[in-house]
Amino acid sequence: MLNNVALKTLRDRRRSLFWWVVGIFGYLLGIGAFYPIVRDNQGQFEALLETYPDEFLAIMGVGSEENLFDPIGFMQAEAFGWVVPLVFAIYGTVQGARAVAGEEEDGTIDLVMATSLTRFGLVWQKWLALVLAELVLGLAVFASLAVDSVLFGVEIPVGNIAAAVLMAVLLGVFFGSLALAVGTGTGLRGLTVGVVTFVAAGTYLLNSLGGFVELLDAMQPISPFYYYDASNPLRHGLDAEHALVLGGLAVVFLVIGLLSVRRRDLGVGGIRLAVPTMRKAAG
Amino acid sequence: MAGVTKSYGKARGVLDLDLEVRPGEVFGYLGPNGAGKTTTIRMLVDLIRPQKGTVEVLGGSPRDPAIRRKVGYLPGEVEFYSRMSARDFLTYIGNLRGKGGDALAGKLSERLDLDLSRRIGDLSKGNRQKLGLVQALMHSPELVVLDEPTSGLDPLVQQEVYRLLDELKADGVTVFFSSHVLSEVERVADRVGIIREGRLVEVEELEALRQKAVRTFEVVFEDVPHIAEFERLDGVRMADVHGNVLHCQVIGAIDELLKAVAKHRVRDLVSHGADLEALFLDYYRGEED
Ligand SMILES: Nc1ncnc2c1ncn2[C@@H]1O[C@H](COP(=O)(O)OP(=O)(O)OP(=O)(O)O)[C@@H](O)[C@H]1O
Ligand SMILES: [Mg+2]
Repeated sequence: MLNNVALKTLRDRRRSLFWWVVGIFGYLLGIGAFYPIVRDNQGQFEALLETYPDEFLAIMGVGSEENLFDPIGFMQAEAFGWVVPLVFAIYGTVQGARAVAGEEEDGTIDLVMATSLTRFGLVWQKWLALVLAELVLGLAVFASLAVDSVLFGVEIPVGNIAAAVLMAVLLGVFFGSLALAVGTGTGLRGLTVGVVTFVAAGTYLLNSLGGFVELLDAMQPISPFYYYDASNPLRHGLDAEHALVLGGLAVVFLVIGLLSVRRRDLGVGGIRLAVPTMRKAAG
Repeated sequence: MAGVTKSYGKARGVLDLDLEVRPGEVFGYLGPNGAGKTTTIRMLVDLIRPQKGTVEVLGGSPRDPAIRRKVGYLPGEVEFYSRMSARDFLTYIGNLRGKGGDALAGKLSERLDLDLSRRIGDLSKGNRQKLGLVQALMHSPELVVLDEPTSGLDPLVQQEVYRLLDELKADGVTVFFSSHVLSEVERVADRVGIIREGRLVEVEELEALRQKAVRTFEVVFEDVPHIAEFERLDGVRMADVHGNVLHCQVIGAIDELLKAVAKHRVRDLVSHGADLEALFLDYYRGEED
């Protein structure tokens, strides 16, 4: 695990990644255990749902035409509509921001970059570590759904699970790559987390409300969350075009990161902001 | 380095720096806090880049990974991954260099009395500094760049580090190190550069610098000499005679003074050796006084 930056980064993250895995696995297991109850009391739950406004359901990732009582609709509503994409996006954001900016702020960049490692190698291997970590999270989701199917009868075709997991991974890699690019360009971890979280929250709301607020409807396609599940991969399988949009943009961010680190001074607090207190807040 | 300027907005880093370190020499880089030592050194390993001028290291650019592989670098405030063991860290750095050095690392840690099995976060500041030295030296670099290598080390370990530097020099390794401490530069360096407010104010062989330093003499005569005998002599300043005792300061050659003194019967002579400290303080303070 000490052979290169990518493996070393994964090694450093192993503890925190473990807890993220435990968290998402446990959540999906708990949701799965809930499924038989919902299925057997469909009538009561339907009456309850009637009382919720559609906007609220939309924010929870539930389209109005969705059947919420088959395994797919249930999992979409309880997990893939909001918890899963947010977990992948947040994890990606945090890791992407730590990738280069974190090492700069910790001061460890000095010894690492004084070796024969190139800046190109540093950034791209950090990206690789991010992708691998998101894949591990994806595997956890996959495994959890497999257990749900065996124990609680939450039966979803394997191909559809794979498609939905892949989209979640791509969404995480998208935000991770964005954070990597911002962090690599600025050298400021805190600022990066703030900016990317803002973008994620904004585009999430934009996508959720887009179906209801006409003004936002046309703007849905600028939200990464739109590409994540507009095609409802859990029900219909993979939409290759949407996957390509997320994956392609992630690669674009990677390239921006690779280019932006080429000319910069490393480990000096990155781009100096005009407002001195901003630097402190970001640190 | 030629004509190198590196500024941070209004804060100056270094200005128009020309500096050449000869292969195989030990070069001490002295200057007060904030003078620009760390700035200079971080340019040598391409962590930061000058706005003007060129930096050449071992005949190439520090941007070239193959060049950096032949350099050992110790940062001024060295930071590690606190959760790794010291040994794992050295393995990692060795892998990144594509050039291990486990054997040498083991030897060096033994000499410095550093326990490699400990978690880095549990090491004391001095022990982390030792680890920094080990990683800088373990791959037998051709050039060693050390930013305040002995800061945080106890005197015994400092002595060991000086011996290490002596050995590096004997092996033909070029050493560039920064320091605040004159005595350590005197102890190990062949040449010194003095930087103040981002400008190199002096580069000199240590010997030549000693020549420039002020010595004080106190001579007790059997008879009473006349002040005029000494006042005008080459290099003598602030001569003063009280009864049969002469006090004076000499810069550089002391030959004339000694010959003048020898014309009398001398009961006692006390000389305070070249006071580099005073000389450096002059450089440090610069034009203010
Ligand atoms: N990242 C930075 N941003 C702004 N100014 C900086 C930065 N790094 C250094 N400086 C300024 O450049 C000047 C030189 O700093 P440098 O760290 O090179 O000094 P130094 O000689 O190493 O000092 P010390 O003996 O305290 O280590 C200082 O005035 C410092 O404030
Ligand atoms: Mg310094």
